[in-house]
Amino acid sequence: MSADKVKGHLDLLLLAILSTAPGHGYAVITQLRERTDGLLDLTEGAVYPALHRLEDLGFLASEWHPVNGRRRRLYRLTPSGHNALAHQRAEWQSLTQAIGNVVRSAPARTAEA
Amino acid sequence: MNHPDDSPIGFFLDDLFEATRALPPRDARYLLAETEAHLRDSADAAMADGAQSYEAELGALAAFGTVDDLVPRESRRIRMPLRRLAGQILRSAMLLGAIGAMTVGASGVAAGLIYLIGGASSIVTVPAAALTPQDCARWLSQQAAANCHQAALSDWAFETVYGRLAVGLAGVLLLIAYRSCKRRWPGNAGLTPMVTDTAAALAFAVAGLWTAGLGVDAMIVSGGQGAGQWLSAAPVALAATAVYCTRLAKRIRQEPVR
Repeated sequence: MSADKVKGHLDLLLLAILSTAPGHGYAVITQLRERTDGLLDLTEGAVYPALHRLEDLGFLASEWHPVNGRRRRLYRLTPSGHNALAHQRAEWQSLTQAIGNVVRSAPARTAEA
Repeated sequence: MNHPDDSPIGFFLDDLFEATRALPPRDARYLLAETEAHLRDSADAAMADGAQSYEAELGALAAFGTVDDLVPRESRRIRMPLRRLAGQILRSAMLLGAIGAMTVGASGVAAGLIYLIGGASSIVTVPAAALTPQDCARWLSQQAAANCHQAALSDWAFETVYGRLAVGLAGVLLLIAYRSCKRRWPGNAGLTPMVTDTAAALAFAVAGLWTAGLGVDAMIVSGGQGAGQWLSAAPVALAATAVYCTRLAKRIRQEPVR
């Protein structure tokens, strides 16, 4: 899936991943790749400005910790971040349901060579 | 012998460091630290899968994206406050203004020497149309000159030399003010040295070539009359150009070799 398609939903993806446990940027990206079986093609560097923006918005908080001998910035969801995740998740579910209703009503047809 | 940081990731971080100089120091520092940890983690993972160090680093960088992708996104997020940008420009302008004014002062010293050797006519020319009766009366009342033209020459040469010396003195005062500001607000750096050195080298080069051209023109057209005011400025400006070009060349040579 192209980066453009992911970009609009990056905040939701990051909030969802960090809602399970705090993590640093590389771990977030690794989880994103693993949970989507590598389907989401994202430039890794793009994640950091997004994390920083979510922190500016108060949805994330960060602290520096040494992990495996390397100093890393660990991000965790704040209470506002949990609220934002719930809101964005509801929006996403409404959107996918609406799109699904339309797409499912179209007659299925196998692509011909 | 290669430096340990002479590696793809090391070079990338050098580029990132340079590109983040306009960001607030803390944001730049955090971004560098996070990026380095990320790239090393990514390269370590590739090496654990059997890749060689060099290929692992190249792979980590390819997945990460370019400095040109990353830094503008951070810049858009941060948006340097106008007040901070104005402070950077003001501080750099103070330094460059002080240096520029002191070079004008140095050209005043050179003009004074030319005046002592060649007299007032070597410094300035006075067109006949500029001599009004009122000016003549004033100049002749202030000095013992043979005629109005001589009095005008002396007055204008005096103004040229002492005017430049006054500008040079103002430059020294501005430099003192600059250093005082630097001590008082050490966190607010000026523009990057590459920018200020380039601006200074260009400004001095233009001034040097322009005044040299006018000086040569005066030598040819006016038989040297008034050439001193330009030829006193040109060597000083060209010397300053050479200093800033040398600084620039050193900075460029210090850039990591790829």
